[in-house]
Amino acid sequence: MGGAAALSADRATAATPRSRWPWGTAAWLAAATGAALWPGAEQALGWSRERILGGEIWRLWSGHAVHFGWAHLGWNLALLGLAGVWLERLRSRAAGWFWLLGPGVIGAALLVLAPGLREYGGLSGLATAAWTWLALEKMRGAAGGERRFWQAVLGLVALKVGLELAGQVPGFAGFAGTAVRTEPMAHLAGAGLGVLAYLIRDRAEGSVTGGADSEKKPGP
Amino acid sequence: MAGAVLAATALVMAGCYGVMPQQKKAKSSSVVAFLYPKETNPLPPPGLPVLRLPLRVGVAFVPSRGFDISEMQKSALLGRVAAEFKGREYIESIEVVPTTYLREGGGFDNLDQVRRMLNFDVIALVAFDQVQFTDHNLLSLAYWTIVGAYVFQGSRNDTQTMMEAAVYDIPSRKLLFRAPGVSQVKAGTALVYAQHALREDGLKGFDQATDNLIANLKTQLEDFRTRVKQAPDAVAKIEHKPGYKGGGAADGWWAGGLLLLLAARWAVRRR
Repeated sequence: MGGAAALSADRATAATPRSRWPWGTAAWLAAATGAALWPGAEQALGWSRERILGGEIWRLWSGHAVHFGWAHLGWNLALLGLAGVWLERLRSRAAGWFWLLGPGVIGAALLVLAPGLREYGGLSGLATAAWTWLALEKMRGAAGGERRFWQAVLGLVALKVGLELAGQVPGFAGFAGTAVRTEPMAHLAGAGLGVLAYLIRDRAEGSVTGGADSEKKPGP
Repeated sequence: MAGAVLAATALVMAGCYGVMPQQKKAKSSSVVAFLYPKETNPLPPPGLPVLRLPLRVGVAFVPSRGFDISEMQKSALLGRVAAEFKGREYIESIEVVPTTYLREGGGFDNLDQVRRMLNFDVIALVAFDQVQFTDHNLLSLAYWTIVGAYVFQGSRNDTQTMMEAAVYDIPSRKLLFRAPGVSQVKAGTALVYAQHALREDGLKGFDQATDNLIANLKTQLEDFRTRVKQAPDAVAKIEHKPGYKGGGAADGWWAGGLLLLLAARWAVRRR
């Protein structure tokens, strides 16, 4: 309920965009970088089915900060950082709820959608959600080349999820040389979360025209 | 008369040369001293180790007494070992364990603590023994001229390094296999640069011994796998963990595609 109220409160943000420090994005980037530098992070924070079902619920959130290599971390930081900063400038308060609840939603979805998954780590589920939500927000009210651009972004998200679900994962995942598999359900859940965030905000705001800031405040 | 002076000078200098003794430096650590600090005759525990694949592996230098190499150097050497063994289907992860996590004579109790903290089943404990000798040859006579101590390589360093990795299954306390790595580095140097050269040779020795250790570890690992296949009831029991480990990865092609799109958008908006 509080989330819906906050989403409504973004009406003002959408109409008069203002510069805001992207705290949520910064917090997740810092957490992931810190976890990469701490040898015990995977054990203490990683998403583990056994431990979550044993009561360590925080792992639904903290697991996203754990990565299995520098390449894995690097790509995820780059994409989450870009979409996250953009999203927070566009929908600051709603984005706050997104960073707070989104990781838990994806973590819980993995319990159901990937029954064979024993352990998980990575920010890309959140990154997928952020790009999906951002693209939907920016497409609203956009026309011409701008609309086509955001359609292409959504197309890339759909292509990635589709290829992964079909088992055709290209070999740049950053897991080369490890026993870790890319988890397609994380990205499917992320895309679903992005759509859900957009729908909730859209419903909360009613007929507010979105994407208005794109004229005044271009993204990165 | 002149001949007598020359002879006397030669005698004095030869005497001085003879007086310069061989110098020796040594540093070492021991897996046995770490694991069994109070036992003089440790016996292997009964029973078979149970290895649950894919394995989580730790790799660490055991603590050493006195003069040592830096933690950064140890981490770099272990990082190289770990990198060589990543990517095997039966190895889930390899963690480099800082030596600060282990205490002198900590034994298996200490390993149990670290295991719980970092979550691994098997650990490769690395010990080393490095001895460095410095001998002086006839050119060291030139050191008496002071300038000669900078110019003439009258000292000869000989660095002998031996490393050993012992791979243990921590729950069963069983040694799975072990592998050595050795190197010898010989180099001449002038007196003034002798200490610096010794440090350089020491690091080079560890580097070369690590290369040798990695090659031997690979051989021993394959040999261990063969033994497990041939006689599973005598070497180790193998089990497979249920499920798999997954990661959410942004992927280079996806990230590249998004960045290309952004670049195109930026270019169009600039026009």
